[in-house]
Amino acid sequence: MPEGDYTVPIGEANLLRKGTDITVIGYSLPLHFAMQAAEELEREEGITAHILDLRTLQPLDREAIIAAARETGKVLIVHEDNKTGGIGGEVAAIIAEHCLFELDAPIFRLCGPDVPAMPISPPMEKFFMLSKEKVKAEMLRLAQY
Amino acid sequence: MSDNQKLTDVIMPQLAESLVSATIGKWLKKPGDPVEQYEPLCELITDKVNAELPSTIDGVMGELLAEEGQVVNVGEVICRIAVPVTASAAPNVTNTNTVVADSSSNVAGQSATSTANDTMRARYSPAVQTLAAEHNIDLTLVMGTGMGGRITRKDVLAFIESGGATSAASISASQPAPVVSQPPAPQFVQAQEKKTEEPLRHSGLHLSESPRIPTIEVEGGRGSSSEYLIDVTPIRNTIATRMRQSVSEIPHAWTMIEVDVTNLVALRNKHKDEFKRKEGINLTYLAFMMKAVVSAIKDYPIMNSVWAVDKIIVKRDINISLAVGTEDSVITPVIKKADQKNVAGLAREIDELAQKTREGKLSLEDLQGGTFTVNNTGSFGSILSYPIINYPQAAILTFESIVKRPVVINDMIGVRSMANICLSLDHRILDGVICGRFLQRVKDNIEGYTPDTKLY
Repeated sequence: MPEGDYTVPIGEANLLRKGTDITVIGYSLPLHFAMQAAEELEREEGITAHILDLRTLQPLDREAIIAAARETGKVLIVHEDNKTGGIGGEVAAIIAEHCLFELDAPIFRLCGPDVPAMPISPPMEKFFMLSKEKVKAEMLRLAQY
Repeated sequence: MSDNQKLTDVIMPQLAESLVSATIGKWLKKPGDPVEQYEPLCELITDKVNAELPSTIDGVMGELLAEEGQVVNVGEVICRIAVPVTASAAPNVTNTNTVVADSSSNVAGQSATSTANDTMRARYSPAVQTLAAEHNIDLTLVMGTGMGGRITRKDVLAFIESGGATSAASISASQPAPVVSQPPAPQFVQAQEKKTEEPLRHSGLHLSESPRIPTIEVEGGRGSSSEYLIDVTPIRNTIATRMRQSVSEIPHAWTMIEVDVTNLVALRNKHKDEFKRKEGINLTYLAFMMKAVVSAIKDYPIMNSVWAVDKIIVKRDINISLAVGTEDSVITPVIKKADQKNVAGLAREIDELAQKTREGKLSLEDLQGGTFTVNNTGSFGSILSYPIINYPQAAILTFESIVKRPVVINDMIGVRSMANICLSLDHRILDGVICGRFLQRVKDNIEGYTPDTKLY
């Protein structure tokens, strides 16, 4: 949370990080995991990730999504919401519509499992929530695909 | 180094039973072009159809042995495709030649690991294919670093960076060097040679997608502007040969009958809008008339026959050849077993065949087996025509334009929709009496349509 007053433009995504191996698209909390994982992956494996923060979901910044997907051809979408019916499906559809011939791997989605949120029990919360480890493993899997 | 690439002959396939040769239309691959399996190598023009010749193997186009426009007999070699033997050779050498292993163990080991898990080696993502097409890259030469040996987009980019796209041939030559330069290996190379020498597949033709524009060539240089020359296309040549054969061999006779189609007009008008909505195709008069002809042939099977000098062959299947005109030719695709179809079924077949003809997508099968020809000459306004029999059939029938005319019925004059039906017949097989009866039956069938007749 930034200190002081601030405004976020509506319908304009924000590029958090530039990279050439994989593209991560998401919003909110999981992007912090993705940023940390990206630092580690660059250090350990030499994998550079291109990370896009959607910021607003309606309207979605289609141009930014398409441009980010074209950058690497490998896309991972992350969000905390349930996988089924989540905004990731919409993002994936936009990419599938516009970038078929630039895709180098299936579009990956790392989201919350399809169970009601949020369990009030530490092990179950851990199961539901994304973490840096989960994001990092998925990013590595996509990079190696 | 030429041992690393096996040249595989591509021979002219037998496109159909009756074809002994075909003309090379256009080479779609030039020497040096990468070729993938099923990719078309060239266009072939035959008397009946234009087809594309697909490749049966992956490789690089070696040399072209036939020129465009050249007529090549079936079985002759038309080009050679170079197939690199590297990929499959490397792991086998490490298995069979243990003696070699100690002298060059590191090299052999390396090639073995690189090909150990290559289940994804031939799976190309859209991005990879797009890049390969843009930069004209033979993907078989690219090293895959992805999962299961998959070639990733980055691999292709790196390959382009290293100048692989331009010097693809030299890389393929230098890569497999350790394998073939070893003396104990020759028996293996021989085995590989035998494998690639297998004759190529003969079938599996792909029809060309776009309608062919007639190649009309105006030849200058004669100093005369009052005339110009048009090259005879193979299909024009075929039409000329068949027509000539028919007129010179078959003693043609001709007869015509007039049919009152007023009821048919009413029937069609009643159904045509609903039919168009339900079936998506036009309900044409031709379908009704063809149905009437097919039923009449059923009653007079001799119309469905062929003159065989010492006997007459009567065909059981009624396969109606339908004359379809295109800009520069006329083709007769066949409606197989037309007697098994109702009016709606015939309408659909007519629509499909006419469309396929105009798009040049007819296959040989669509053109073979006709036993009786029907031509809808009325569609271009004719009210009388003298058709030439579609050799070797026994007769050909034309439907002329429907026109309104004053007609005397029961000593009264009425306005009726009338149409002529013309029949050319092989007088060796058929005579006036049988044809008269046949036409009378066609007339009865057509006039028998009432607004209540069922289409299905």
